Amino acid sequence: MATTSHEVTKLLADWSNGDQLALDQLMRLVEGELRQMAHRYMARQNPGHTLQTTALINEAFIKLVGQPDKHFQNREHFFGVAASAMRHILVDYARSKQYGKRGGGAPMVSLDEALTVSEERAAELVALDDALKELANFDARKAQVVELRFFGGLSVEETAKALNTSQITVIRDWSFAKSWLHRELNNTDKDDA
Amino acid sequence: MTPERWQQIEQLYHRALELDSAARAAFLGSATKADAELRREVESLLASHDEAASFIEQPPADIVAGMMAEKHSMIGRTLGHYELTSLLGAGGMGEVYRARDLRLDRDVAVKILPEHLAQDVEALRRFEREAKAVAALSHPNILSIFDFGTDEGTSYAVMELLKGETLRDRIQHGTLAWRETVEIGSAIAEGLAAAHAKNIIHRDLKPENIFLTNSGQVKILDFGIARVKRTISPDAETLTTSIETTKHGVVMGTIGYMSPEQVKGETAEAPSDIFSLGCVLYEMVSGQRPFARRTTAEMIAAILDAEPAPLSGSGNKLPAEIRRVINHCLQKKPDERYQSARDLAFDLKAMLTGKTISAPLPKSLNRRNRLAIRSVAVALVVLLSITAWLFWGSKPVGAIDSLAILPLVNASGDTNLDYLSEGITDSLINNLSQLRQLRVMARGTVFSYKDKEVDPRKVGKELKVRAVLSGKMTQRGDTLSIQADLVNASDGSQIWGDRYTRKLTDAQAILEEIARQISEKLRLRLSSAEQQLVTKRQTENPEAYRLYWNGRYYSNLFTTEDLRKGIKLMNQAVEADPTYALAHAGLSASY
Repeated sequence: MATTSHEVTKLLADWSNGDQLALDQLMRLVEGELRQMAHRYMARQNPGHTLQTTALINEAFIKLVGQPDKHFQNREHFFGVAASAMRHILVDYARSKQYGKRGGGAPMVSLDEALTVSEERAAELVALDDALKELANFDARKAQVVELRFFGGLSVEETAKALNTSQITVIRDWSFAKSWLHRELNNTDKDDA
Repeated sequence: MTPERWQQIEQLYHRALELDSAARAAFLGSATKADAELRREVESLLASHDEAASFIEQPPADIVAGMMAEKHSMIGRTLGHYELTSLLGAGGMGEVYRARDLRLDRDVAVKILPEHLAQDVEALRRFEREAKAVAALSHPNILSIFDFGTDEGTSYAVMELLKGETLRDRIQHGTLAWRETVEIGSAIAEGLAAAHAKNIIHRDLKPENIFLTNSGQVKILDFGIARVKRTISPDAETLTTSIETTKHGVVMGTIGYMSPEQVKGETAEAPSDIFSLGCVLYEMVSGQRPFARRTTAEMIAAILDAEPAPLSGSGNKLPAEIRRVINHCLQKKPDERYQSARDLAFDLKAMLTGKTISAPLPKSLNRRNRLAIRSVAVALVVLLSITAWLFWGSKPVGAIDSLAILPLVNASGDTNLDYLSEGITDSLINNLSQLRQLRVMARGTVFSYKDKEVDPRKVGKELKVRAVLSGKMTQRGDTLSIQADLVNASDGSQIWGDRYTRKLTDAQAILEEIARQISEKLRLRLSSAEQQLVTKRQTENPEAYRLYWNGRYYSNLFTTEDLRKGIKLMNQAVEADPTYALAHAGLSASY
């Protein structure tokens, strides 16, 4: 699996230019990298140890791509694309967990720290992704703010730069989007019940 | 929804957010006019805002972790005579697979050790030793280990395959009834007792490590593994290091269940497991961890110092006994908890049959504690008289006009007395600050020296004081000892020092005796040390003297009624001798 950082950068650029196939390829590369990293992170796990997603995501991408190059206007844009890729990867994974467990009749057995993602948690993430798509239909910027902050782990400042807008706009978008998404997810719960 | 409508909703939402709830209603009423649906929409978003405080604020670290934990699959491989069929779980200590025992033709669970452990000879040896010990236990409440082996560099342990859910899963569906909590708790305690009898300490007991099988059995998982993990992991950094990395992440570990001694990095013995079980029991009935806090650092501080919030047993009726049992498990000092898991199991079972339990009654009713409070009064009397008397005498000499009273060290080994030793120091500072002749360092200044070995000369230099008073409080049985030393900060010479030992009980009767002894001793010591020092007695009026000490005693019993009584007595003392400054000072401190 000879991955060159150039290859990844190109895929990210292609994908951000609308090439959907590029994402599939990108995902395979990034996922492989993430899993390799998993070992190192797991090996370091101690009681009280932390897992910092943001650091992890950043590390994964920097390792793959090196520093963001000229294909990306700036660091924020790079991480913006990375956040988007991360969202796809995580939601796909969550979806597979959800369907994998549903109706499979597999016994619920766990013999270690509950690091495996529960069906419930996976379902939450999938529902959030669906609601985000809905939100993007009538307010694309708010959906992007959520993607960058939640999946990409970007700060308000970084998000503002990535979207070329002001920090106050990001704060307001974030507040409104959070309230809206939270309401949507809860409504879905009630409808299901 | 039209873009205009969406904008309208958003604008109203932001404007309403800036108002308090009372003003919001009025604002929305006038802003939405007759548009009831618009108002409903904004109001529901505002309600959602209030609920959504922590919603999506943290990146989905758990999902990333879960994904990463599922590495390239071992499924289909055969280790020894075990064929791995599916992945059951994964964590820091390796992956667990469902497997087929090809010889005995049964399903088992196989745990594969992480590479960094498998390559460490010492770690392997230790793991094997622990596995053997646990295998020898063969207790119904402990997960059985069948086998252990290495195949082409992959080390694994074979365990019984359980079907059911972890206690964590169960708690997530809601709190447990007290009876169920007690039943599960006593099974865990039985398992622990069996292990402790063979010197095996779990060290990482938590709801994730307790398994409830479909057939109603309770099993403790990962026995002894925590020890292996702790001792040999190359990255077993100190806790301090990992706390520092907590800022933005999610705590994956289990600090919430650690005992104070574990948090401090001391050796965790059997009582540590009892503390962790106490935390688990607390969470089972309340749904809350006893020391849950926002950050790891705060959580650690809470484990060390804070009392858990009282268990109210939201909704379900909680017997007082279970609170007592949990409280007894959660004592900060190991030797104040249940002395064995067997005792704990016994108490839990007694609850089921309605028998008397052994856990002590809550502290407020505890006689011992009241005695401790009395002892403070005695100690306070001792120290107050030492210092006050001394400075009366020192005034004419003018040598010592400033003093730092270092926090009295509680060397009693009883953390219950901690706040008492602090209280003594506090009161001393408060009281002596009343004296115009003396500049006394404020509490905030001297408490930075708490529990530190300090050179009085250094303190003197740092705080620019002429004298430093330090003291140590110890307790043996029902006697309390206080060693006090007053040191000249300019040259480190001891001005005065003595040790007082008194019974904790019957403080009333010994009050006068102590006071008398101190003045005698001081006079003696001081006259030999500095002949001119004694120029004035506090009061020539023995009645005022007696009244003051009595009042002082009462005002330190911390109840309103006693305080009132104390103030009355001290008032009488002032009446008897209006020049009695210490009584004045004592009075001001009591209000």
